[in-house]
Amino acid sequence: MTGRRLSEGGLIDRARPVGFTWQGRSLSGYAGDSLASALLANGVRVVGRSFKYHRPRGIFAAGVEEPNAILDVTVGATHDPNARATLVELREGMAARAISGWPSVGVDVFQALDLLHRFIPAGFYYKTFMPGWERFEPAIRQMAGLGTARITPDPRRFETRHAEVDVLVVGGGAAGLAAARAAVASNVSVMLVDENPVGPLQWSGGVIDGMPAADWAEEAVKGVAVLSRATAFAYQDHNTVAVMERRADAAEGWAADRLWSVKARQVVLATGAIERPLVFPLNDRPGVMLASAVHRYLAQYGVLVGAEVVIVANNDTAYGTAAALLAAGAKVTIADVRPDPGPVAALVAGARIYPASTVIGTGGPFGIIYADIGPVDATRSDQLTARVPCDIVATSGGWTPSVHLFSQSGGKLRWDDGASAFLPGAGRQSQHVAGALAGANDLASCLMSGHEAGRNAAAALREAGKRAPRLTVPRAEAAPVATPLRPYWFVPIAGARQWLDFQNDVTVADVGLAAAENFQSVEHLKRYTTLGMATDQGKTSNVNGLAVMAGLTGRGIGEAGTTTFRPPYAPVSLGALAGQRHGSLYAPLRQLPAHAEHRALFAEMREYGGWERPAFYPQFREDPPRTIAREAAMVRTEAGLFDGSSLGKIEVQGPDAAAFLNLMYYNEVANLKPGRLRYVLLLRESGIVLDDGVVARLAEDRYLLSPSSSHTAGVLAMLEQWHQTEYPAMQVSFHDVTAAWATFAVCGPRVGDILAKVETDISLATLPHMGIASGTIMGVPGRIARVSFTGERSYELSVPAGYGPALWRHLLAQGAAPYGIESLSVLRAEKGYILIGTDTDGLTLPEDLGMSGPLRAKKVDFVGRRSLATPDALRADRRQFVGLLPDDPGFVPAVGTHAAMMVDGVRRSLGWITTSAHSPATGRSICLGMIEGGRARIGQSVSLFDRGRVSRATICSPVFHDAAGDKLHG
Amino acid sequence: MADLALCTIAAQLGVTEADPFTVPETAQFLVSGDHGQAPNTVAEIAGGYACWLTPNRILAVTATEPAGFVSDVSHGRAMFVITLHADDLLAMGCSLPRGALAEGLCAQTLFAGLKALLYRRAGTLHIHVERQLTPHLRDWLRQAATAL
Repeated sequence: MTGRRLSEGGLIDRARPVGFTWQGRSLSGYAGDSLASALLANGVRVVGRSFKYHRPRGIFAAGVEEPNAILDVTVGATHDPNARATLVELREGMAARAISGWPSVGVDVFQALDLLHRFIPAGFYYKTFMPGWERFEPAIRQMAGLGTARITPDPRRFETRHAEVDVLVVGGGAAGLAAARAAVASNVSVMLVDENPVGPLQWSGGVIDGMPAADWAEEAVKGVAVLSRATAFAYQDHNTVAVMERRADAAEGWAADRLWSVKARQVVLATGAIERPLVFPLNDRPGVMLASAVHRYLAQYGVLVGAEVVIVANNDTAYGTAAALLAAGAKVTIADVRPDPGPVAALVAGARIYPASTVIGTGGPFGIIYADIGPVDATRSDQLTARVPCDIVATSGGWTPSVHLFSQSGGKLRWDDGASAFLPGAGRQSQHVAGALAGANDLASCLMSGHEAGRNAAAALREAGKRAPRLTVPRAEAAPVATPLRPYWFVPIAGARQWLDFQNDVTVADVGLAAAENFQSVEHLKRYTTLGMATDQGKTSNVNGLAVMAGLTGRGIGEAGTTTFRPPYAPVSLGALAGQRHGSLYAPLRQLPAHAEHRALFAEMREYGGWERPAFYPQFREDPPRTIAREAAMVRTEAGLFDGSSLGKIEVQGPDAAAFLNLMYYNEVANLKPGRLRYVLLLRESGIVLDDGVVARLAEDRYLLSPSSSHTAGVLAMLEQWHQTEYPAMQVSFHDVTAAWATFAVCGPRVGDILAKVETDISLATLPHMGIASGTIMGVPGRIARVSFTGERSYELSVPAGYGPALWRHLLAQGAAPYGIESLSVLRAEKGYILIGTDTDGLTLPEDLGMSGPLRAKKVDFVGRRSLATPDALRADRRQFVGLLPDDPGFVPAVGTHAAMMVDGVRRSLGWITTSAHSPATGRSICLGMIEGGRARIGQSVSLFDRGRVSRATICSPVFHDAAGDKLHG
Repeated sequence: MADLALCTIAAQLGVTEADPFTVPETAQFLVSGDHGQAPNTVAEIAGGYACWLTPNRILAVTATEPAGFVSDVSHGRAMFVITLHADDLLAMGCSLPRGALAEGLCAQTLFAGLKALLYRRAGTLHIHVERQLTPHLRDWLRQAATAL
């Protein structure tokens, strides 16, 4: 027989059946079931195949420690390729599938690997696949197999929350509840998180303070903010704990996962303990389960996992499971490794107890049908005392405190021989440990230690001199005197296959091999055998594995030590980590003031340096190259309109503004007259060109800087840094006003006609090239600057951003044709104007761009000056900014194309193309590039290598259009 | 995903905020100089109030243009005023500690991934962001509102 649902008992709602499917087969459970409990209630035994040997595996645990039941689960739009069935609440319409096994989980052809197990021990692939790993890897990954994520976008939205509390209690068991109760009594804010939908006291039974434990639990959390279904998975510095909440009531379209970042002044860790299995031959068969899990399925879900149960234990706690099973009508046999179980045996009248015994073998094809019981010192598998027919072997090897969060917080662990476990030692943060985590082993002592921890947490927050409120310690019936646990790590039968880590298929023999090959450090052991790796993180296997290694190497377990516990404690969905920042909210994009106007013109909007800007404005059935050519030609022959609002605008003011800026810029700016502009470069201390732009002097003590769009924040930060760290005495301030202004450039031969229809008190006739004036434009305050990035006569009109859309519409109505960034890029390339970051890189000095004049003229020091005099800066063969004309005028080589030439009998690359375009003004292709000693090579021919195609080009001046600048000044 | 455009933040969050690129109703000025204001505070000034930005800079929200080195950034900074669910939104949008936003205090932090100035005034939460980022913040608020 396999598992079945009892007619009564458990916390499930029998009035609300829930339909779901397993491997496509329709099954039914109840509201309140976990997927695992529903599968067990339906008699499902094999839920997966083991990682390496493809052996059939069944549900082993009932909580986060489940190593086997990792399933592919779909509910509506929600898909989890690696869901732990024990943590998944059953939902109507849920579809669950195994993630391994081909053609099915029941019949898996790869099980043939199990026959070869002697040849594929731990680390075999390190030895076998060293050469050509890349050829084997895909097949190995396919066979090892975890779930497959879907490549379609996840339609759900996720959420992140921050919370701040006085006391955070992690764990909703007896200790956690007692701690929360004690802390909240001191009138501090308390949050309690627990990973289960219902706390363990709701189903475990017992009496506390004279009332049923479940009722006491509800009383205890009055005034406490309780997050259930919430796993604390990371404990970081400053008492910050990350919590993953799986919300049952998530709104439609929202993911169940919500990520909390909780900052607590005090943390109480009551994370409990996880039962660890006893290790015995063939202990991985479906039907081998943790004794505590067998109890929980019975008490919480009303599921009797088997009719005939063998319990193998080395401590008292499994007897509670035995008593519950007996009460539910199961036949129970107990193998106890201790010579005498002591008083606890009285709990299980009706069960056959084999003292000083363990399970020395199991049998059955897809699950257990019998267990062999033999003496603990058996060295051969035929030394059995009895062969007991059974469908479940429930195992209890003691308890492993969940020290993960404590260890993550920086706390040290210590090995306790009495508890046979690593317990929290010295902590590093404002924290308290309680309950089973601290080594408590019955209800009364858990309540006591929780109460103490809660009081201590509150006391740490209390003002000096203030008294704690009176609150009695919650009391529970004392457990019978316990017979001590007897450590027992594996059965000494040579050659028997005894599993330690079910998820990663690691056996006692694998640890033996690691020890023999001198991988004896626990960290080496982990990497060599994969013990305790992956999503399991050794929750049930860690201590057993360490004990085996310690025994083999003649060390104590404490001496062998443990590996580092790292977050996350349990797997976390990537969507929850991203939170709301996905889809349209992935990255904030700035929109231009006239955004709606550009959209109305069907502009193709693209992202440029964090701004959403028009690339070009295609007309009906016009392809991008044709659009760009049309727009560029319009600017040269008629008049164009460009939205330059994203250009940086930094106002600089103060008596020392001129002197300070002169210390910053490569060019002289102190002698600039008010009302005039200058094109400038800004360098790093290394002399590398950081940015270019225009500096305008508005008044004696006031400047307006225009860095390039994507460098504004960086330039502002640089100015602030130099002012604050090097020149704090200088009286100067900086205001970033980029967002406050809309700026439109009108340019081209007809610019005068257009601007004649713009009402302004600024005299355009007297405004010289590189001049700026303030006044009113269409009745609002504004500025006009005469400056050009196209080579055409050009005016930049700036008004407060809110008036931008109206001004744009007005200029458009006067006949100016809009052009986008891609078209501007062609226009500026025709004039040989550089674009920082496109034509320059992290090695470019001003001299490389042909701008050495300012260095010679400038008398005062400036940032980067000394770097321009280094031998490297003065090399004659530095790459220099030049133009290139392809011999084929119709061919536009790609940016990045290398230009090569025979030098000293060897053909080598001299540099590359940084900008290329079809130029409407010249009717042919043009390129800009950085070429070694380029200016001295003007007129020479080079070979271009563009994606396999070789062509020729001639090095030339970078100015292809109106070299004299007549149009600019005319 | 529910259509974000259908969510009305005005109703759900009590948000008042002008369309991103219209003429603002509230005047805001960056003012540099020795202001004498305590860090992270909001102070009453002629015609309005001033938020501390740096040891020598404030943001004056006032109809009267202050004296000194002043830049009018009214058109550059959008102000959202939120009357409902302010605490929930703060918990979703930023990691500010409790108490950092008591009435009379202000904070500059990342809110919804944006550089923002936050403070409470007359029981409402005020959020200033760069006006060009207004569409992003509106989308974020719409999404947040559907989760409340």
